[in-house]
Amino acid sequence: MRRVAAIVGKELVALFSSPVAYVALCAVSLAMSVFFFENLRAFNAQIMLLQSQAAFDEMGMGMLPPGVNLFDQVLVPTATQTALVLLGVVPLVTMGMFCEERTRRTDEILWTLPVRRSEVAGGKFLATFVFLVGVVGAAVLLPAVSVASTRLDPGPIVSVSIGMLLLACTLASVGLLCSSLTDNQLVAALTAFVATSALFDFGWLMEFTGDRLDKILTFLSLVRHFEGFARGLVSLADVVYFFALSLLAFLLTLAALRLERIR
Amino acid sequence: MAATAGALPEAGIPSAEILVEVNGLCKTYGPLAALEDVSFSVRRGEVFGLLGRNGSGKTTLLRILTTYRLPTAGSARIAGLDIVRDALSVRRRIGYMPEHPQLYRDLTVTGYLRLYATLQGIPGRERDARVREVVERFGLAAVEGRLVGHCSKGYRARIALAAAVMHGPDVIFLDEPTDGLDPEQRARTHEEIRGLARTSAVVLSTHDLNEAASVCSRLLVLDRGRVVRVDTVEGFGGPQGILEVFRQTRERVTEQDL
Repeated sequence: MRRVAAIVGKELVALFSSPVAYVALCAVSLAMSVFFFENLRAFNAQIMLLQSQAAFDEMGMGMLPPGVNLFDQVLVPTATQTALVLLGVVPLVTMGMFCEERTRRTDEILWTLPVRRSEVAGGKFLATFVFLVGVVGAAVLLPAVSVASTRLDPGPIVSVSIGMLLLACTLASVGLLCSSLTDNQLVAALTAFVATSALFDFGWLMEFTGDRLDKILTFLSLVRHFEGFARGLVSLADVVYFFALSLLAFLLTLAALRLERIR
Repeated sequence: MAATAGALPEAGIPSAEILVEVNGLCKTYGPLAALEDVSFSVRRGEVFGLLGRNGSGKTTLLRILTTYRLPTAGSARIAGLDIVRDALSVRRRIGYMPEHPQLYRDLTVTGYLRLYATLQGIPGRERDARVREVVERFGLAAVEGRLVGHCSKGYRARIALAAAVMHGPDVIFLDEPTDGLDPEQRARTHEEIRGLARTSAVVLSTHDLNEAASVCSRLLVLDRGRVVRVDTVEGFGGPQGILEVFRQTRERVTEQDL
């Protein structure tokens, strides 16, 4: 465990020694803030429009039509839009994890130390995850403060945070896998971005498939499992889905690292 | 007397003293044979030199012996442990300084050595003492708080050597450790290598004939992945004799190429 902790420390130092970490933090925080305020502005505009309509008065002040509420119109779209930003940001964080070791040839010393490949991969994964906890924390700060200053239920903010962390966990695993497969950081980042974007929503594929396959593709899409969290629902099935996908990518990373020794 | 691969002059020496045993080691990359039937052994207290031109297979051999890469055929044992089956245990018994060692540039010198010590499994109590010890021994005190990336090439070589020997390994593999160093740094490194051989076996890869003659007790000359000759420096006839073997190798290669 001490070895894993040492790898985590080394990776975090490396992350914060490069501009990538700061760009990622700023990009996600800025994106979440912009999306949040834009969605809030649109929501307020809709409320004002409803207030000016006679139908709204008949329902009584404070009663909104079904589907018009802060969570469905502000929180859910903001969370989904920020998840899309994470798709672009996480590959930038993970791209160098194994690629850079190989291109800088630091791996030659690393792999001749009495450290297991699982310890190195685990350390790199945990470092990425710790960093992404910070990114998600910074991103949800503004909505959390906004909700805390009202009488609204803070539950959905918590569930959105959990969903974003689980999504980040999966994206980090896939990013590490891509980094372990190539010596080129750009290729690693692009592969991770394309793979996770395709996995995010298989809707584009359903035009060409039958009903039965549609159900499977729907089940496999990241967004289907993320939406529940965005709506304030924490489902065990969704949690298991994210963990299973992360574990699969992690095991494939270990296999790729083992194969490297045969080269 | 010259010894060829597979007929080494270790007969009669207790096997406990032999720390590196290589038997028929081969490595191929597709149709290209990087190493062919390489056999030799190294005892504790020896500085064993691997000599050969660029591309002769020295680095490939070291990468296999340090468990970084797998051999295609043959076997090797380090301190009695198989390099393929017992790779993790082998790594606890070796220290490795690769050619042009690339270190983590974002860490401070002591941070790097601490990381290395932790990954070597040195317990927390001992770790700081060992780091202190190698910082003093390798003259790193002046740069201990500096980022590795901001250190000169000479200091980086010393850091890599300090890290490689910090845990007291039985076998130390050094791949061209003095490449690019100034004469003073080279002389200092040669002294260190001789000192290390008092308690360990040192396998030193070089293409510098004078270095090989002055530092090593025995030499193996490699050419295109094949062992040309294994002998003591005296057996070769000193630097001139080593140079002669080198020249013959080049002539033979030239004829083949023609």
